[in-house]
Amino acid sequence: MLLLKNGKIFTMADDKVIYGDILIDKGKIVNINSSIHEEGAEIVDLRNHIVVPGFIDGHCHAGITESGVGAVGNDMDEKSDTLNPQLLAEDGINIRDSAFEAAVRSGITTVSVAPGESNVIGGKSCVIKTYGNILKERIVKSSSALNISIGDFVKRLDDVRTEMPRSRMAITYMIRNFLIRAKKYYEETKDKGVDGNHFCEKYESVKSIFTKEEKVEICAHKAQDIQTALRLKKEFDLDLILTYCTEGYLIESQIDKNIPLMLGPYLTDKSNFEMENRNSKSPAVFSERGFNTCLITNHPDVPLDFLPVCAAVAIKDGMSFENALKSITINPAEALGVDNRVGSIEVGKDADIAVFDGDPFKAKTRTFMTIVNGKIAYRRCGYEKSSNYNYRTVTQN
Amino acid sequence: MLLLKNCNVFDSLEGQFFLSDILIEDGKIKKVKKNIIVNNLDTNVIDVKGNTVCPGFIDGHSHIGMWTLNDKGNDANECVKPLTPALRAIDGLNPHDEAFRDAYSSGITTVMICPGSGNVIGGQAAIIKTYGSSVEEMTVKSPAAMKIAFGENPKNVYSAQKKSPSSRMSTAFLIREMLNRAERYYEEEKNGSYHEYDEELEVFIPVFNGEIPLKIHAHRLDDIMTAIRIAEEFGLDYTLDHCTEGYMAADYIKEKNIPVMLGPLFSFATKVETKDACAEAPAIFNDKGILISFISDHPFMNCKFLPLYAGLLSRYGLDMIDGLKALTINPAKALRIDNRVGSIEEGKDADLAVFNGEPLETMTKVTLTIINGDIVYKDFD
Repeated sequence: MLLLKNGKIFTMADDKVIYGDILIDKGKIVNINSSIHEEGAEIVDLRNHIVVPGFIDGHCHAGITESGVGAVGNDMDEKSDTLNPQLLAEDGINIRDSAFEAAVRSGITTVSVAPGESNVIGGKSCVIKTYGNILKERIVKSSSALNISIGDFVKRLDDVRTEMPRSRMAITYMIRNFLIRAKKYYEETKDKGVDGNHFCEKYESVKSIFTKEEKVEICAHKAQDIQTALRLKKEFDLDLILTYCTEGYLIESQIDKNIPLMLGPYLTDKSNFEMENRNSKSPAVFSERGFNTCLITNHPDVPLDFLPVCAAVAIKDGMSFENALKSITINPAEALGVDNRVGSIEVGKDADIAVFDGDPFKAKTRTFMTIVNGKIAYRRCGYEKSSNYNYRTVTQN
Repeated sequence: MLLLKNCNVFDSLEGQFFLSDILIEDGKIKKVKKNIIVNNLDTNVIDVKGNTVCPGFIDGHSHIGMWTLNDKGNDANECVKPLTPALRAIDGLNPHDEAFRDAYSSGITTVMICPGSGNVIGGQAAIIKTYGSSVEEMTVKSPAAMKIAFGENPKNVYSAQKKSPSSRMSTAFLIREMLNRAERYYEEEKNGSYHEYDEELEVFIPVFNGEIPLKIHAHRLDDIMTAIRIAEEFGLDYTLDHCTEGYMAADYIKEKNIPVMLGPLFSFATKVETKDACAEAPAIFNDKGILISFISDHPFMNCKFLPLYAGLLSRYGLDMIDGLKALTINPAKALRIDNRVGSIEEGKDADLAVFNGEPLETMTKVTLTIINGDIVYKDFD
């Protein structure tokens, strides 16, 4: 058992702030109270530091495209076909990617790893923890969402083969055509099953979006593409997440408030024409109007460990501290359907906790400790200018 | 005339703050002292109410105006042959690039723009101000350095074309060969002996007579060492740009007394040669007494995040005061323009930025930017 004493705890449940202790057992939070005594528990004094739920990045490509190894580390885009609902991000993740270590050091404990965006249907994303040696134990939710992309980045303009899609018309046609067929397949096979001759791997893999067990995440920058996404949601009754949503602020009134928004990346250069109308105030505006607003790094666009900095910059551009904190904790947890396990500090939830020696969004603040699944994944040891110049996290197993 | 009242002035030379007024005339700082009174109706008086005023920030290595990450936005690399010393950065500069707004609205007033690192010798860098409608209006100094690149970039570009350099050996050879020819050319020029005009060797004259340094792009330690070796063979001045693995040999770099231009740390390691980037590196260099400056390498890190990045380094052992110096007086010295910019002193260019809080803190905003005495950005009522 691990007992954390004397923290200023932002629980992110009912906006409650508690001054007190947290008891952890078998990877779960078992008690939160102003003062806890527990025989035999390992005690860590948090020195009245700020305690928040481990941060969550709702959309990134950590591990599926690796740092510092060049092209050989990129496993996120299967270029042979553009409709790949059968592919799972978890099969491409290298959990030893150094991005995870850096993430743990910044207090990030859960990430949704998505396949790349250069296919119309890239595959399914996967929600995993940032710490642990075995992928299976790190997975919070496998196949958490089907990833669809609409925009210039899926057009096969450079491809020598003359293949679809080379225009937005074709992108939408391909999605719609696929969903019509998949839905038909689902309806015809849900009661009577399917025989070997008609079994289709791709349609099988998307049955769960029609049963609403799985969400559909559509990545789009431009307003017109967001509108296409909204149209598809209506036509096929999809449980939608809108990612990027760069021009979303232009058509805010058309977006239903129950659609979670994964906004970002804002800490980059405007690297393509679709981002030209990017407005760094939009996270502030959306959260103000009551949307479930999440901030994302889209790692490698913004390095994963800069997620709290994304929130800090959102605050600079008008977001409230509370909303900024929500946008990287409970909001993405709800959006990804993993709020039964992560996103807030509550009894029964996973013990994923980040402790900071000050306001987590200020430049000078350092991470004091990161706990993942009840294990201390990172702990700052005094003055940490490593004498051996080794930047890597000091991790314990 | 422009008078700024009640400034919390950052003294970049001493690394401290003091309260003062600042009087600006004809684009220069005329007076820095308390309680300046001007009996002149034309004087624009702004009360900055005790907010912090810094010398305009200097970005020591950027491709702003020359390169956007859009499809056709690259005018910084002429990758048809590896040696193009005669090309000038200012000829690829678009003064209307919207990124200049990002620069001055975040307090950056001076940048060194340089050709990219696709070529071994890319061309001549220039120092410009970030506001103006023409190249002439913006330029502070051109040429201001000769850009040279080691490592993966030129190697990748030319090995894809099945040309030389396809190895680090060849990169070093090409540089050495050109510098040999340029040195002979320079000697002939100096001695007044006859030689045919050669536009590619002509541009090395200011390099050999010490007017401008080499601006050396190197990430990996072996590339840094090769760079030092070659520069010393020819007795040339230089700065080490990026210098990603340089912290591993900080003592050696200190011994050579070389300015290092660090960055962009705020990016994902797309290249193998940047995999050992170290967040503590700036603090390590600074503790050794090496002159550190920060660079955005815009567009690879948007220049507007340069102050944010400098501030975040306080988590990794670099004091914010040292961070501020690495954005002001240090790059001014490294780029050899400290007679004009880099500190708030009488007689220097009136390039100033006003902040509504601690300048490098994540949520602080720039409220006023002044370049050459003109207000170019204002964000308050």
